[in-house]
Amino acid sequence: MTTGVAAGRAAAPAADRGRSLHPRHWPFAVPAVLVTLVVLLPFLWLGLLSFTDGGGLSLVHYQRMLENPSYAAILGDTVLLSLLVTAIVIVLGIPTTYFIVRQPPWLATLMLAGVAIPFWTSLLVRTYAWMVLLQRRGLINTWLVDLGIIDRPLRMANSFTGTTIGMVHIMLPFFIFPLYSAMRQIDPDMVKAARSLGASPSRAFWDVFLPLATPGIMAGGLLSFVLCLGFYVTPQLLGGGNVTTISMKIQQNVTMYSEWGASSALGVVLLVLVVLCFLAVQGLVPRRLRQ
Amino acid sequence: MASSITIRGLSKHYGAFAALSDVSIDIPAGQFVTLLGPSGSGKTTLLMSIAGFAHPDRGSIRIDDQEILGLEPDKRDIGVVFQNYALFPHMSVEENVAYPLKLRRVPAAERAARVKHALQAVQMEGFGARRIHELSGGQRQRIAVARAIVFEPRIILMDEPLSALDKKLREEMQIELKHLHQRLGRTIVYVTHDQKEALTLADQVVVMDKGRIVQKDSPRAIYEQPRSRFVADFIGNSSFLPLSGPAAASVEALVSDGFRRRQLDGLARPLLVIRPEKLEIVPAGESEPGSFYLDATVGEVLFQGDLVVVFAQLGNGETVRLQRGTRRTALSTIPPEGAPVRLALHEEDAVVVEEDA
Repeated sequence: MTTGVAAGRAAAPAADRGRSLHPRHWPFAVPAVLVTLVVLLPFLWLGLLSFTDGGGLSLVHYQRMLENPSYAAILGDTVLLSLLVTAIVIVLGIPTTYFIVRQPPWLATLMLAGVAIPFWTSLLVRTYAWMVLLQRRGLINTWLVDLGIIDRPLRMANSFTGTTIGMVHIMLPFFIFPLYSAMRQIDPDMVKAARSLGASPSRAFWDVFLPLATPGIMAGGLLSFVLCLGFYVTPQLLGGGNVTTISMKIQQNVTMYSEWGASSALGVVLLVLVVLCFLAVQGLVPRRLRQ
Repeated sequence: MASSITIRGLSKHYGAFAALSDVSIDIPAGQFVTLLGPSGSGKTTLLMSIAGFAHPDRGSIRIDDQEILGLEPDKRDIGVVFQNYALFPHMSVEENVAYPLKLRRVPAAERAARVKHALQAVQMEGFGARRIHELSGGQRQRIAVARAIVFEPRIILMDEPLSALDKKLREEMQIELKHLHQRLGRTIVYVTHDQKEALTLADQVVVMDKGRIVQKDSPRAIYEQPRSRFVADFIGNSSFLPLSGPAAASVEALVSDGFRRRQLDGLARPLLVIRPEKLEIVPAGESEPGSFYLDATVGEVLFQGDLVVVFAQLGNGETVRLQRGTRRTALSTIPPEGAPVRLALHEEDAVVVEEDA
């Protein structure tokens, strides 16, 4: 009897701590509640909107998406563009980041600042800069013609190519930063161990360093891909009407046709796509390498 | 088979800091050599220079008759056990141990046999399919050793491989490593800052300080015939008493002429090194020739289980430390705190070194 009471008394506070918030701490919950309201409510409203038409519940927006081949084309283009940009970002980003990580700390910091400064510059400014560079008579074409590498100016602005170039530039920091922190955490002795066991520098990189950097590559790649899926400014300006992404279609539906329902449905599709990507990457990264 | 290492005039500077200055050493084939020293003494730099991860400014390192300083680490054929083991977490135990064989294009069947053999050597057979994160610290240590010996390197280097283990496991692993060395007959160079570990494992102990080798000897000689105050102080819990100047008055030196000739002559400021277990408690007034005598007062008495440590205060305020086993008969000879006590150190147990400038 006495032991039971004692045990009950001891257990009660422990159980309390896990379950409820002490009234003294309620004020700290205010920001969380506000954020939830501001984020979650429009979100739910968006979802609801996509399932309504003319005041009643309806699947007409999704039905239209399935029936109209242009939607499938836009979705396909968006995914293709995002995949291509992410692939290029990964191929360029891995050696760049590896190079930065191997520098002494002061130089690595300087190089990271070099990555960060364009990152802090307005997206719009950078996109316009690319428009200038990629034009028919822009800097790049002029140089290539002057050097005799090409006869006629390449068509880079207002195209899929130009959009890709611009987006790769914008996405690179989003890939490099998480990868840098992942690579920094890799124990330098791992590569040394591989070397002492007989691996050449490149073997040690492929067999040991790269596998250990995989979670960082996945995280950075996913970030880049997800941002690409919803990207608006750069494809709009650099694509010059020759590239249409989901976000551009959403914008059209809202501003030109006031089709809030159709836009919401596209938004929901984009969201589902992003969630699926997260789950896929979660499944891809081996559990033992997750931090 | 086992190889010898010959190091000549090795120096390495980091800015103004000399990590190694003019280090020369011969390590015969098949020996177990421990590099012992405080942090910053250069022992790890020396080890990493042999492995190929530190690049000395000057000097030479030869394995048998081959100069290796110009060789990349992967061309040196040296097995290294790192302090934190550096096992690859994305590979199983088996894949880790097989990795050096895979790099050497050993055929799969032979590879499997050699991996099995190496795992047996460290008593880890049956763990091949495990993941690294599923292993305990001691098991990881064994796998790291298996991976470093599986390709039968000429030399095995170990960088404080037991420092992450708790005391009991560390002592078990020391004995295992010693046996492994006896079975394999390879040359092993082993870095540690743990004096007991260095003495237990080694055929030869190399004591380093400030980038220099200060003494290289057998464990027994290192302990019983330290050649400098640094070595005597770093290894063991010695007390030091000056044998010259006014402070020498506290020591009655009834030593033989032979001892004076061998140990004292030629030293400007001789310093008596007193190992705590070599000090005897003798009856008051005893003064047989052939010993140093000290009159002291018993101070603090610390009971440590297997040992009892006594701090005795000399007339001039100096403290000497003595220790005894805790057998009944040994304990009963220790006077209570505050009591006067006469201590004797036989000249054959005595070491005299030159006081550092």
